[in-house]
Amino acid sequence: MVDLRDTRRAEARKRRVLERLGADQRELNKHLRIGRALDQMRLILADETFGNLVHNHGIQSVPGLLSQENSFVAGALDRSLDFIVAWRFFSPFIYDPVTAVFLETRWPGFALELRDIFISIVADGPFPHELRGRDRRTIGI
Amino acid sequence: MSGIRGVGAYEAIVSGERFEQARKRLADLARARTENDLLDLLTALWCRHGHLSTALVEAAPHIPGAVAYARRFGSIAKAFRLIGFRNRENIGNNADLRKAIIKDVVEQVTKRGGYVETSPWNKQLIINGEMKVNVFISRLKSTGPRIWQFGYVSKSKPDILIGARIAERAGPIVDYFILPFMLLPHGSWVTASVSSGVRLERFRSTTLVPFYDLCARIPVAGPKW
Repeated sequence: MVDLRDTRRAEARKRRVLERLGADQRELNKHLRIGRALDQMRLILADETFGNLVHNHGIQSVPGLLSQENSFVAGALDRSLDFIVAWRFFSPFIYDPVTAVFLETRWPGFALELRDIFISIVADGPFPHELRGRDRRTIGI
Repeated sequence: MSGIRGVGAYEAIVSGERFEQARKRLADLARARTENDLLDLLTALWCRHGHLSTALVEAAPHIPGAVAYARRFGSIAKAFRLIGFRNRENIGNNADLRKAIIKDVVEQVTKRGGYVETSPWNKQLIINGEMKVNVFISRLKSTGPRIWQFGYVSKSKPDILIGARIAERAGPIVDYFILPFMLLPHGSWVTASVSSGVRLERFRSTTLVPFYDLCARIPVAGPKW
């Protein structure tokens, strides 16, 4: 009986460690994905043709974190906040017919990847190691 | 089985009058109070002091403690509201803090090349014409577990919620939580406890400078034709 209890405890401990490792891995993947998307956005904004299209939309400035002139260093805050700023700036171009076609022709798959990142963060939640399978209305961290 | 009772057979430890007073007091305490009784006691305390607070309720000798009110009404604040008392000092202090933060955000974002639109009716900031930001003051709950709660219920869901954390009523700001509210379901409430605060560390800052840096803008050159 005692042996069985010890075995179950060991199994539970192992499960918890594996879950934690999985959560760490997911968190790392999220940060890498956001980092790659931000680098891609910087490249796109540095493109002269895209710059002209952006200017035609009446945009006079870009977020500092998407500018190549500014040596933006990843800040102390979580990258999901960087993503929100970038998403708010970039998403109108994904849904605008002219810029969307240009983006798809020049950087195929980029718009899809951006949308996918957004959906995955919303689905998984922005906080690390968030507990799954519970009421999402109140999120205890 | 019956006993023989002889009043005054032994020398009394306390006087008969005092004993009677104590008996009445114990009987009074043992009586189950109705919700109306509890609210009447609270109203009487309010009338006497001209103000109400948890500390005042706890200090009053003839009134059940704040925990008893919390058990019956959900929280002591709810009981205060039921008798029509609103803690205006607290509301005023939080409003002042929020105004000061908003003023600072407007100044600092403008300094970093951005611009901020403010709407006086829902207190939402629109930064650079793109991002909706709300500022929220969060106080450590006076009863129950040591948690701070952040959330915002409004028709217009903010993209980012800045939760300024104060340790006690009318106290200074301890730190800020900059939360990606856009990525959470509408009407979410985030709770941060002292023991598990590490998990929110990447969203916490002692100043709002990282947030201002996020909102910084760089002007772009027009087309060369």
